Amino acid sequence: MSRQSATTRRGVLRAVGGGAATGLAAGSVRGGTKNVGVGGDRRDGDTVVVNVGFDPATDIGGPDVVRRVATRLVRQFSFDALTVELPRDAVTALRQRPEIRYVETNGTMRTYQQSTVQTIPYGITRIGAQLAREAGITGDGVDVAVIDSGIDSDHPDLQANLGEGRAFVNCRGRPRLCRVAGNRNACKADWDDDDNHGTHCAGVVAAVDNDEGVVGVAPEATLHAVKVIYCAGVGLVSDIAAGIEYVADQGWPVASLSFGSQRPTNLIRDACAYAAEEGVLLVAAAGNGRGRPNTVGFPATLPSVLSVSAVDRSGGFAPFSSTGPRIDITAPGANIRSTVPGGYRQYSGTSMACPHVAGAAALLVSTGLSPAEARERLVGTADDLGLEQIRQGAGLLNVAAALDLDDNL
Amino acid sequence: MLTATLTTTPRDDYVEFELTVENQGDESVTLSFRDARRAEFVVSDAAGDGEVWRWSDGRMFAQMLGSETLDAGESMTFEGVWDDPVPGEYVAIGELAAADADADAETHFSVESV
Repeated sequence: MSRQSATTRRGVLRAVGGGAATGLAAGSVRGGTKNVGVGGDRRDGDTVVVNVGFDPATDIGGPDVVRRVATRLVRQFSFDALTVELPRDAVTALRQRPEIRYVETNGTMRTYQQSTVQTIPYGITRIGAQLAREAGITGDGVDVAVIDSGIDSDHPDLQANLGEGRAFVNCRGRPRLCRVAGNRNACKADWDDDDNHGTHCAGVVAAVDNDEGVVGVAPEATLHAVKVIYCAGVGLVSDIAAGIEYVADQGWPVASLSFGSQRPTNLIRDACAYAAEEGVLLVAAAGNGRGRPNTVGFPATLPSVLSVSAVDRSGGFAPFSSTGPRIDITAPGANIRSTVPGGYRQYSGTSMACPHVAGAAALLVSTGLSPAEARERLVGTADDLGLEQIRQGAGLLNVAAALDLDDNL
Repeated sequence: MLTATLTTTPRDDYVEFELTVENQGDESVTLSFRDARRAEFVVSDAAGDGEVWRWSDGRMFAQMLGSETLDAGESMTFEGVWDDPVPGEYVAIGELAAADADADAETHFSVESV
């Protein structure tokens, strides 16, 4: 199950807040013998995830009793039940409460043991993507091309959203180099990610909204891996141009380009012009020019491309980010947690800011806007952080405002 | 302290470059990189007629911060290939692309006409 009403989902998200992910203890909950008063704020580390059913007749009593003892709310159902993490020794007391119908362990305990619990990366809340999620706007089915080092083909937090992949350089296609560079991906697909970078960016765009890992800006968008970067994080201009052309020919509305160089090339200029003409919204990382003047890289300097600088968790300008008159918008890029083959990592760079904007564009396109209209709205509704235009562009990405969700709070 | 050595190996229709950076100090050094580029190779005309080839031209780089740690006595080698070189006498420079450390080396080489 995963479909919940918007109001239910909002309740869950509020309650979960910014809770940190912790490893979950698993196993039987029957052993609890100590009688612990329900309502304490204890957190001794020995916790279990349980499904709790409460009596609707007692009205507000049941859920409140559970919430008070829970260390974390995992899921709220439309019917009278919650999945929560709570101290193991609180189970017995909870079972004895009149408001509680049952306390059960999860049937899929193994899955819980093996996975990390889903946490909401700060970038998602910072840009208002949480509000989109609560309103049920998920970018459902919108095609987003991640023109990068590929996307891990069997990552549990991405797999459900993977569309077609296409390789212009094959996974581990440079065997000698890839023995010493990149990751140890088994390359089940030729567009598989041998570098981590593409999978990380893909997770920012559209990691699945499930019980593990992270969630992306547009958690139901379709991710297309267009592999143009090889295992060392480097791509040849000819491969990149072919990738951009391919995306345009597929008619996909949004492409995320988390790469660049200080040197413009005519081939990529032409490829971007071709894609823009075909209606693709190209979003690119402005580059990591360390705050120095006029360091926006290519292709972010092209007018046809939406150029993204980076800010940190508190909205301060990221010291690594490029600056210059060609910055259109800024987004979170410092210490971003997202997917990599085999797990999750935190990376920094304008590479990480770029897919926040691409995901946001997918959300807008899912509501019926054209890619060009989406671009205009994203720029027009960005939050002024009070930084100079050469740093923040129009300001910090605010997808909730772009979706007109602000007034509904 | 970082030292760099550069070797060039002309082949039939390409030239291989290898830049080796060694930490000759007593403590480990962590190098920071602003993007996926770790090194640069630049070839200039030996007669002083300017730059004829640059490895990063025609390449783009993932815009993600990175780092590499070199323990005391450890070295790291970066490779680059120049395809279809024009015969001539050249000077090659290889340099580390770290944001917080410098290491470069220079060498002469020639490409014979085949």
